[in-house]
Amino acid sequence: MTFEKFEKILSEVRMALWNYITADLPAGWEKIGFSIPIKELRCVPLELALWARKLSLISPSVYVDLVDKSDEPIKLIWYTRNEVCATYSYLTFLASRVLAGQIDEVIQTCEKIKEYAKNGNKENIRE
Amino acid sequence: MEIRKISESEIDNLVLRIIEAYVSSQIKTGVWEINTGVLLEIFPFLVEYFNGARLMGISNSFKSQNSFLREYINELGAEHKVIISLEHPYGHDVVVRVYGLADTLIYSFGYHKTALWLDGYEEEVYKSIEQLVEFARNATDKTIVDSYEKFKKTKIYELWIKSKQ
Repeated sequence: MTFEKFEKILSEVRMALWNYITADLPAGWEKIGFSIPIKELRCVPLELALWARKLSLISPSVYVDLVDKSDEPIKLIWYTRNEVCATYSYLTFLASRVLAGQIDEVIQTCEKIKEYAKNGNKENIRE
Repeated sequence: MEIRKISESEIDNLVLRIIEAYVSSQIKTGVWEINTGVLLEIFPFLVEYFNGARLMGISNSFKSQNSFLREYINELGAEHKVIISLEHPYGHDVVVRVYGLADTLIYSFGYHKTALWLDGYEEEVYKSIEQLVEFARNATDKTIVDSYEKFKKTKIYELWIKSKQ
């Protein structure tokens, strides 16, 4: 497959996942943030899984930022001692996992994100 | 006869050009699926990804991290698939991208292998170049194509198509 074709289908999968995750959010939302235990996410970037294990945390959490109209609208943010340790472009990662064959795991992950987003801290909701 | 001293940067440049020329002539470019087991053979020092583009030396801590990473990847299973793209957009070095393992990893194959070569990892570099050539010879995108077709049948995809109408 050419790089151009791959980028096109990756972009399509990204948009479809984003549409699904945000479908039930209130109209006019701009940014939603929430914390979620890593174990709730079926698909996790390698470094994050490694850190969680290396630090021997029993139930480590990661912060998720959903930002509408952004180039990378889902950011996973890993904090240690209140400092940002790393951020991940999670939507691209999830779309890549779909194309690598983990559709069911990605769908389960999206369901969890939807569930947590409903109760997340919402900022700048337009009237 | 006067013997001219060769600087380290000249050696660096020569090794880089040889690696670039060989790899570019041997591989087909494109986007392919790859098992993490094969990825580890091509990139035996996988931690190099996380330590910046230019490796200036491999410390014991680096080796320990690498072993930890290998252990984890082995747990995912050698058949765990990720996506790799091989391009030489500027006609020389091969740019490698790995999707679905971490944040998308992008780096220059030749520069990286040259840095490892200069650090004394010659055998590992030769072996990993041959592994890349061997991989690219038989590379397939079947999982990517099949997964995309399967994804198009999900409610997620259908909802997205409806939302555009």
